[in-house]
Amino acid sequence: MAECLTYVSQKIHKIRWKPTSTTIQKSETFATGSYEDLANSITIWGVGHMTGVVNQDKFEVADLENSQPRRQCCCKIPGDVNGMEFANSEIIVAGLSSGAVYLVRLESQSQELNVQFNWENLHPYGGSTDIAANLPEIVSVGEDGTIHIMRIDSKRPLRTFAHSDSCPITQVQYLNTHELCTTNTVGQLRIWDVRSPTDAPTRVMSSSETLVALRCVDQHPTQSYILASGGSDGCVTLFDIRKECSPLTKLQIHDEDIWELRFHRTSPSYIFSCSEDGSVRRLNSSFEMKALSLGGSNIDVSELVPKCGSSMNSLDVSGTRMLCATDAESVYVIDDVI
Amino acid sequence: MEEPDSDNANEIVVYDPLMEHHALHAHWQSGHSLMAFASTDTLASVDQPRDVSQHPIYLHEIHWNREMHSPVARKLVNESRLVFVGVQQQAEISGKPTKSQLLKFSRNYRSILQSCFMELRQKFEGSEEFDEELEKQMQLYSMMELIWSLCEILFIENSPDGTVLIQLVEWCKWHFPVADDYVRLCYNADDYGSPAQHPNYWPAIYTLALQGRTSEVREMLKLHPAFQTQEHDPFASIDELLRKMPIFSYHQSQSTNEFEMKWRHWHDECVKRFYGGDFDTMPNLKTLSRILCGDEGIIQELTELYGSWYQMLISYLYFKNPTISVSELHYHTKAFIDIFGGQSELGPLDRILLAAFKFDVSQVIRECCKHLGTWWLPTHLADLLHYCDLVPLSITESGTNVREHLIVEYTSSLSNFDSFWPVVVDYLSFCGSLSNHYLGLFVQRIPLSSEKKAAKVIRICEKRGLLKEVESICRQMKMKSMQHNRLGTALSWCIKANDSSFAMIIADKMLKEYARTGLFSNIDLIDYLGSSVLMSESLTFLGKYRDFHKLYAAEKFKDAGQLLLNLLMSRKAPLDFWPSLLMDCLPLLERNNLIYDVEETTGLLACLNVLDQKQKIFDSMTEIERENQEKKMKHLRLALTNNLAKAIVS
Repeated sequence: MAECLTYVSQKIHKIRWKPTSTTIQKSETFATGSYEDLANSITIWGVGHMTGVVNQDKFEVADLENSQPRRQCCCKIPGDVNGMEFANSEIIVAGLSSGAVYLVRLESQSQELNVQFNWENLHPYGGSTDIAANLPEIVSVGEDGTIHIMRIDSKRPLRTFAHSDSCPITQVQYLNTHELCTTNTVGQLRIWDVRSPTDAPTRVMSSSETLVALRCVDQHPTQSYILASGGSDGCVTLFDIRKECSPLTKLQIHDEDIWELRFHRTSPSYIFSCSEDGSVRRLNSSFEMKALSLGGSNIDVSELVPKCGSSMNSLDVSGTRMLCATDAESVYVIDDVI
Repeated sequence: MEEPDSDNANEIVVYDPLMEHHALHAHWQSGHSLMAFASTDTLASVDQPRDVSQHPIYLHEIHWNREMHSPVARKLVNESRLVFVGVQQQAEISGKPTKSQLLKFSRNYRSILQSCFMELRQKFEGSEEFDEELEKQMQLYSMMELIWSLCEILFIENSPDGTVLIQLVEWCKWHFPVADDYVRLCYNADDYGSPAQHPNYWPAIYTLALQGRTSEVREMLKLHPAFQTQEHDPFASIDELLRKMPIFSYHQSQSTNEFEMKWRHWHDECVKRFYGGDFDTMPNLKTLSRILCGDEGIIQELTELYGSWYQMLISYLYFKNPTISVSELHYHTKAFIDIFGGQSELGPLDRILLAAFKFDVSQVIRECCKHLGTWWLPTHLADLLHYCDLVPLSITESGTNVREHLIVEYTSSLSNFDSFWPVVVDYLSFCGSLSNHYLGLFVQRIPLSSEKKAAKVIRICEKRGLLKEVESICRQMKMKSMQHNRLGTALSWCIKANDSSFAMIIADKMLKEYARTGLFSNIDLIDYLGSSVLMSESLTFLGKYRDFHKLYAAEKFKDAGQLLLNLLMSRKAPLDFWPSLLMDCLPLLERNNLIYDVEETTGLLACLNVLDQKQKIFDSMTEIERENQEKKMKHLRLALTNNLAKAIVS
């Protein structure tokens, strides 16, 4: 496992690989969104292969210079970047603490980053907390419990679930083209149907009796009825959305809040999670429903980054490479994580 | 925003049109910043600057010591924080870190400084224009590295018998590459045919010798056309001396006495050959041999070529007294300082190094604080030396010990930059007996801009046992939610903080809202509260009342009716909610099958009578509302009497 640690002099809140056209291709570009800074920004970084190169004198040397991420371009953003996703390989959407949503275009030829569109004041109180994209639609959720669904070409939101959650929403994900799932600070996982005439969720699932906040959620890439969510007690909770409201199983993986977790897109037996306790861990399980609900399934947990002393805010995996970012202004690029 | 003038760091000029007539007032912000404004009124404060004229009043935000905000400094702060925490954790586990552990930590700090310096140099070389600010920073970082490495040799690394010269010579070699520069010049100049013809050939040899690099001197000498290996040749003679020079190393299992004997023997041989006239034919070699003899005079002659008093001091001692211990170093400093113009000519760096040579730790730290303009070095150095038992527990003006005082100063220089708050928390947590006091004060000043940040801060407080602060953060967050009419969020904060009295207020507010509009706004939360509803009576009532609605919706009228009756009879509902509750009975009473028996119906009638007597709750209503209410009550009474009749008959 090759690892590269870089200090970027910016507190990173979100980090995402730029999508590649095929799954075999190795990702070499990623974006970061900063927060709590005097001037926040979205930055694009390039990172080479972590292999040796032949230098001028025909000697092969470990290319430290090249495997360090390099800043390619950057775009100032007025607020903390709370949510950020690549909608496709050219468009980045970002939800800000000011309550605005920004659409930023990465010009692949000139290597420039420009704000193309913005929706101001979507979440006047508390700001936007997360964003998800499923072009041409973008969904933004906020601390005010509101969900806005926008089309990228229209200034007015397509659909708004106003204050439909009594508590701050922490994360949002598209399940399919018309269904969303959100998590909130009292431990609920909610499924919403965009087409539904009412502002109520189609299903509410609760992770525990004690109102422990859920911080993040991700959907199993092939068994789409499995959702994994991370709570502020450091537990990963698995839900089967076909069943009733209670969780399938609950696993204590971290000591503190899990800020993000991800299924591996092509090897879905892996879940990666990062936490306030500063570690990144990998779960390996077959996710067989029967075995899980009986508690007999084998689950391996391995540590990819040991507790680094400051909160691990965000992670992303593409192929065999993982990115993660901390509050200590550092970015890890780790190769061969699976 | 005014930037301080760097030449006059203690004076900042604020321009304000009002200042001609009025005095300037200032107010402390957190960290190194002030808010200033002009006013005649001595009682005015930043919160309420009173109007003094028609002119607008300007608020000036004044900052100083902002060098910690530059990208490279942020790297330094964040990286060194991990090492600092590592030191403290080590100390917590094993009581006190061992010498080798401390040395490792010290080298970690030094490598961070070095990498920051390299990054600055890269930037400096990469930028097309000359950047004065970058150059200044480069100087600062290289100076800090120089000071740190000397302190590491003298204070942390010192070997059991106290000999330090080998390390000091290495220190000179790394930090003052004078000799390497001369050598490079010699090799690169093609104009002179061979390196030996170059005017810098002999300076290169002298400086190499002064840095104790004997084998390199021999290599250089071999390039000289007159170099011969025959006996009685001056070159061969000096070559032999250089080759045979004994080098002391603690690790070579060699006792000091044994080495001293060998060395004295060699030294006597040097002196013998010098006075024996071996080198009289070659004045350059004579100079070289004088260096080997440790001749004080030659040092003075070579000052032009070779740097400063401390370099000379080290070179001189290396050839005069190589087994000198740390504690004896300072006897020799004065002579060399005098050569360079005496005490009065010493710059800030010289003073810091002199204090180090004198083994005066507190003086080193004091001078660093005074001259470096950053708290980084004194804080981290004092912390490490604290674990070496070298920092005296002398009490400063603020009544704390030096280490703690420095940590507080360092954190306050960081705290005016919001982004550093986790760093500040980490440092304050390891600040001795007062750390929880400092942390409590700091945590209250962290702006809680989002729910996530509040959760992070609460997590920290819980870990450190700052329960009062947790309570206060929860209170702040719920007040904020209340202001924005986010009752659900406010309630979830109450539950987190276990604040039953405030939960009651919120529950009452929700009930009132329901009584007014007939709609529950936060069903999604109330339905999932679980055991948390038991926290306050009002909340329990709210939960039960929701259960009634659910039962009713599920057409379980009998159960719904019983639940409603219980709610009324237990007198848990607030009085002004009674009309709504009683009205909820109406559809139940009007059903065909009987729900309430005789006793229950009389109970309900009793409730209605109680309500009739307490007219007070209708006072706030308008005339129409009151009429409406009375009509409803009449209707209800009728329904209840009918039900009673039905119950008696059945």
